[in-house]
Amino acid sequence: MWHHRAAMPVLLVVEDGHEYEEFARAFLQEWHVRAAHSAREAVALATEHPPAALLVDLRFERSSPDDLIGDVVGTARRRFAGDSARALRYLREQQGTLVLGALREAGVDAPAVFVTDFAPHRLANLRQLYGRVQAVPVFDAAAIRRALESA
Amino acid sequence: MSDDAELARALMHDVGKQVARTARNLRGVGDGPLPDTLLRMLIADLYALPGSAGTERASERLSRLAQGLDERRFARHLDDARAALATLDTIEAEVRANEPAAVARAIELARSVELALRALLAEVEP
Repeated sequence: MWHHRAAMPVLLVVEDGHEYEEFARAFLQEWHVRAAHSAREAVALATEHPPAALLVDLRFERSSPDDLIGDVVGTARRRFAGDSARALRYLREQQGTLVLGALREAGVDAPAVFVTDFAPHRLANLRQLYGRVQAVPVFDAAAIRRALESA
Repeated sequence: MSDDAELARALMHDVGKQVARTARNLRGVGDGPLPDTLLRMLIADLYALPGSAGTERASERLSRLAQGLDERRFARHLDDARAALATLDTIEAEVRANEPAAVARAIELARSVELALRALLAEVEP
């Protein structure tokens, strides 16, 4: 089917690599895909082109520390008895939720979908914090499409 | 979260989910060669998974991440995943050459890896 890009809803993909973007361009062709690789980029893109939905990676293991958001020192003190390395690892593993928090603070209220298998209590907590959030455990295009449309 | 639960979650996230990223969405593509974009994605999922220290084969990533997991407790699912990934490695040249039979087999094996690792995760997080 032919789509006119200008008429297509914008899907903002946020990840540390390009796998989600590739996936979305290949299998979610009814969306106009834009990609960001940090909270800063995501907020800038979302401000320029307000997205209809967000597809967010959870773990940002390939990002440089400078591109991550979150307070390493404070996280180390609060959670890891001052261990900065563990705090940095924790921030990498949770970066997607922090990015979503930054987007919400910037006024971006588009529904968000994570491709991960959050435990139910974790998903409930994210919804309490960030509103419309869905999780799909695997790269199932049909399920992700439904989640993006219903989030 | 227990160590086993953490490792099982990492296996599912970093191997099971990634290895089937393309394969599980290729129903209806047809019996002929894959379009270039999809073939490139499939090859990356199977033989060049990106990570913080460069790329690695899915079989290598499984071996690395499964260290520390209780082998006896999860033998069945680990063996299933390892066997499928080992077979995927043996057909790499044919998959890269976009031979339809090899690609079809690779798709089936990639899905089976995801299923095995989901089953493993379900044992520690029912």
